[in-house]
Amino acid sequence: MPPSQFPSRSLRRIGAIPCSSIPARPDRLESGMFDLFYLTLGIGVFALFAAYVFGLRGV
Amino acid sequence: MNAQGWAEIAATIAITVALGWPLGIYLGRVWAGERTWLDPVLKPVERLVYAGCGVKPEKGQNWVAYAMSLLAFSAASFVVLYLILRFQDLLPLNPQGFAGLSPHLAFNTAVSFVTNTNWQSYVPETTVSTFSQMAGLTSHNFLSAAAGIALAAAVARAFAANRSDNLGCFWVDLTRISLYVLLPFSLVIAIAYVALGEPQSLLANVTAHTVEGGKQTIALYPTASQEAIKQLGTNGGGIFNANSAHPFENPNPITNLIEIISMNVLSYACVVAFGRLVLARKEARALVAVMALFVLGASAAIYATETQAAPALVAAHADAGVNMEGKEVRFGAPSTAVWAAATTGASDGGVNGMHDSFMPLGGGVAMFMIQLGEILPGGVGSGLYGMVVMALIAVFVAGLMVGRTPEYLGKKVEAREVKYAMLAVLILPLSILGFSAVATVLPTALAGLLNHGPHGLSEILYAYSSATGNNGSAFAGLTANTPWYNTTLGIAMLLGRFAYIVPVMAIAGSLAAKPKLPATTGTFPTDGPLFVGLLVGVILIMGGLQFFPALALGPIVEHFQALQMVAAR
Repeated sequence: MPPSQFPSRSLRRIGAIPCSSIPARPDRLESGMFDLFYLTLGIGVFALFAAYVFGLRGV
Repeated sequence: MNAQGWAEIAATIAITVALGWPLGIYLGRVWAGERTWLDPVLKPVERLVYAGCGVKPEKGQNWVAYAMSLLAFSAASFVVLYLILRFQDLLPLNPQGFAGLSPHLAFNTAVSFVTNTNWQSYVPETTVSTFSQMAGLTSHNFLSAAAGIALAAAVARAFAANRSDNLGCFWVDLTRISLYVLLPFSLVIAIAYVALGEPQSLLANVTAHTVEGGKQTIALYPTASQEAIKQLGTNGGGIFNANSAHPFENPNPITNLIEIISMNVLSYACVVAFGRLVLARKEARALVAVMALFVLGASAAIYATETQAAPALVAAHADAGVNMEGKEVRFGAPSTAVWAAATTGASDGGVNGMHDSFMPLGGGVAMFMIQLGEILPGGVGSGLYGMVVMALIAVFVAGLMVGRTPEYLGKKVEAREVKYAMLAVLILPLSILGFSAVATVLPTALAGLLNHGPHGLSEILYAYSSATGNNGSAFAGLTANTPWYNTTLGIAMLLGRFAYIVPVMAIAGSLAAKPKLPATTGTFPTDGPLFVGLLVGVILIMGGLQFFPALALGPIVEHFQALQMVAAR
């Protein structure tokens, strides 16, 4: 990242490392929220298919 | 093009169909619960599985119970596989030290392997641990394939039934198909692959020193065992990113031939088993003929396009006899063409050449084969029930023409079954065209494209066709490991698998409850060339009506652009 893109002038002055060069560390809470989202999405779609089965049974 | 190439294509398809016959007879015995030559070894294991899982094998299920069992099994499989992939860094057999997959990639991959799609948004050899590969992915290669074949067995029983609601037991079918068909045949094929040079190793990567003094990391996996079920179960997910173009997955022309045969043979076998169970061998032969004709036609079309000079090279006055971009020299154009037709017609998705590098019309044919519904010969099991849906629509059309209530295999086809059939087939354009349309206007989705214009549209269209058709092959050129593509492609895979299966099972339930009628002089024959022609026409017209406008904007426009490039040189 070029110096002009450092987050702030004061950080540039002290030679701080830009955020993007720090190896990403998973935020456990954020990651957990995504896990919850994708597991709910998958199970939710299966639940919709189950409802579809019962819907067609009634036709 | 030459005679040797045509002979290679014709012989590959003929051998596959011929081997499908004895395998189909064997599969019919497994479906019917009859004694097989593997009983002395596997019967005790089968009993143990039933006892351990609390399954009562003699108790049948109606279509609702059968479909719900499949959904419950698939939902549980999805959750377990998601957790394995997310937490592979905490699990054993991770000699490569890979981190867990991101949530959206784990979702996409779990859905992909549970739906027998095997779309891979990741580079396997740098992402997935040995444990994830074996316990997560390979095990689902068996189970998702067995689930598809189980549904085909249930559909066959529906046609054989006379006023019954018993379609068999999903858990018994799943167990018997895994134990008696997929495991033993995969074992034999895997041993053959090892003998032919594929690695089978639990070691981590090895480092080779090159003659220039550099280092090369060579990934190792239990490749041969994965490769066997990858093709036999029409899974297609490679252990390496280059799939069967990689020399470890497909080292030579003999493994190449075995892989092509094994990715179609079980789909033909399902139709033969269907004919045996329903006592409609001639009708099954007609369905096999339709499937083989499409594979032959698509192979011929791809071979013809791929042996034309590449327009860009012609325009540059370069020597370009055959379009070899993206093809393995050790396999050549004919083998790549017949593989492409077989893999896209069969919902397999494994590739031995890059479809993105095909000439525009060659890539278009591969895409159209997927869009025709993955019934030619289709995925294991899913090809059969998909073809039966098309056959019901064909006899319905024939019935409209002659003014009689249509029948198929002794069952009256009435409004209810045709409505269910339309619910099933319409899910394909809804998902493919719907998601593609959104992706072509959404900046997040367009950011993943490496090409623009008609080829870019083809890349998006191919991705959603592949996901919805549970094929899994990629057109490349699309960066799919993004939250947008991983999520929407995952939903497309679920729709293509289960939103199709639910109405198919409803058809099975409805037909099973009907009486079995004897054929009369007024019955439309469904075992001759007339029916074969009608079925081919129905499949082509339905596919053409649904997808031709989109194909016209993608590969067809690109073809004319290429012609213009040659004309302007």
